[in-house]
Amino acid sequence: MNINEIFNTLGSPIVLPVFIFIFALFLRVKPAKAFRSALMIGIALLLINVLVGFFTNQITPSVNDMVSNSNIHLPFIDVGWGAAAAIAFASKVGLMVIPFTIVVNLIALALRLTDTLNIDVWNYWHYAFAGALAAAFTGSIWLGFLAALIEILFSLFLADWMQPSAAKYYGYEGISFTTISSVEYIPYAIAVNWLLDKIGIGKIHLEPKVLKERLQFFGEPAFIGLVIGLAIGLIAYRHSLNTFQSWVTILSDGIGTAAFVQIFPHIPALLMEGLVPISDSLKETLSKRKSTRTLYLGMDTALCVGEASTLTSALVLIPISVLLMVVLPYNKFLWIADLTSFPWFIALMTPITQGNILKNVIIGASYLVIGDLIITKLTPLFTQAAISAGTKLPSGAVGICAGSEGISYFHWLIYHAVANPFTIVLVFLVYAICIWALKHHRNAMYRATGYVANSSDAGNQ
Amino acid sequence: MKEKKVILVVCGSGIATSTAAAQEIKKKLAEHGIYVEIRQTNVFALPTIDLKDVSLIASTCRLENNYSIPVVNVVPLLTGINEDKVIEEIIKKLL
Repeated sequence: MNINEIFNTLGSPIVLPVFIFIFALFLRVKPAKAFRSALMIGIALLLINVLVGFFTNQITPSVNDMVSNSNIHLPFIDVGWGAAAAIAFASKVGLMVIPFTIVVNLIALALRLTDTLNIDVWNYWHYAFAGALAAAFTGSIWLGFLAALIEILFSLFLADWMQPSAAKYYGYEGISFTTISSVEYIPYAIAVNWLLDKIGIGKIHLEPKVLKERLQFFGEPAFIGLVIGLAIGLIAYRHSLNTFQSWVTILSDGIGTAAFVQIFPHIPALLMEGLVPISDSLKETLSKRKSTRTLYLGMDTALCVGEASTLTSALVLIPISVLLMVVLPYNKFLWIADLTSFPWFIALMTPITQGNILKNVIIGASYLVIGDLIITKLTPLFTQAAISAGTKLPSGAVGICAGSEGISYFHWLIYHAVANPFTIVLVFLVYAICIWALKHHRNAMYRATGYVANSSDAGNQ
Repeated sequence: MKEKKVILVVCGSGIATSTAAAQEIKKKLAEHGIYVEIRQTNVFALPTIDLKDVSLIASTCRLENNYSIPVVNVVPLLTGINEDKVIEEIIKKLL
């Protein structure tokens, strides 16, 4: 057996903790703490695989029956972003993404390509996920790291660009937001926002309070899961509703989906617990490096999610995305678990639209029309990556993907781009233009993101 | 000995940032000899939670301030800037 076969046989829930333990010791985390970290991460990876297995086993027969018995052709099942995190950590890029991201960030700071120090170690896995897709697509681990590098650089650029607007709108001084699933929609939101202003839609304002109270029940994952699970079952067995067996399946689909959607997001909390000592140790080391420059600290857009406009827009998008997935003829993706992830999708659109819910919803929904196409194309690669990360899919399962990760045009463009030397050069050219634009047209760039300078500090710019 | 006071840690997802903040609160308060019970939730579920036996809400996102118990914004615990000030505020409002 060679080393790869040994690792594959043991599986990531056993192999990864060993690496985490060594890595944590290397960062001078105390052995007992390092051991606990490693154990938590192992448990989380195992539970992610077990739960995805349970859920796909429960729902696959009904989904397949639904596809063959009705007009709803949605065989690709949304298992949620936790599965993407598991793929990311189990991939060849995997854990190495943590030191890699820090080194890239420090070099970018030294070269003055960014003013952001991304301390959101938790979300580094997005970069590893882009790397995992690129490595699976091209077969080269080096191109995997190149994909991660590109995504890190662009997320730092977008964080810098959005910083004044987001910090002002949400009231977080000195913080920028680096989360890929939020920053990548900044350019799209700016473009559509501009268009909406041109045609006069910007003048319509919806009141968040009333909407929020009416839509509150959509915010309960268990409820969404139950409704969607029951709907799948009912559509699949609508011609045999007179048999007891059909009802057993329909009700089991309902409770099974509710259970999965309710409990699944709690599993990555264990991953997080495992990463906290590592992230703390890194933060300490990084903050010791005294700098004369003002740096922004890159954080998770989770800090923005509670804001009324963001939250309400995300709730409105839930029924809209369910409608879109049925109506769009090319879509094969069945949104379930990541319907609750829309606040991250919306978070940085809100400062651009200045909290206009109608604009947020139009930007979000129009993007999903593209996103559903991307995710339909991505699902086969994701499914293959999930299987090699240790997820056991039932026979007959057609495909799984994670809604919030799958609609990402960033991941999609980057893993395709690294496969061709010409497009690699093109990507770095685009990056150079972005950096140039932010350096030389700073005020115009900030204004585009919804930032209005106070008259008192306008003179300093 | 009196029962432990309960701090409810709130974030967007109830997962990532609240886990990091919860661990930080536990650690820092223990350094001051204060031991608390931590519960975690997300902003969606917050309105449905019974706050009867909760002493304080520690949030990593902005909340509308219409709760019967004190709310402290704990983002500094994540960035490491002005950490001690937030801990002092928590202790003051907790006791």
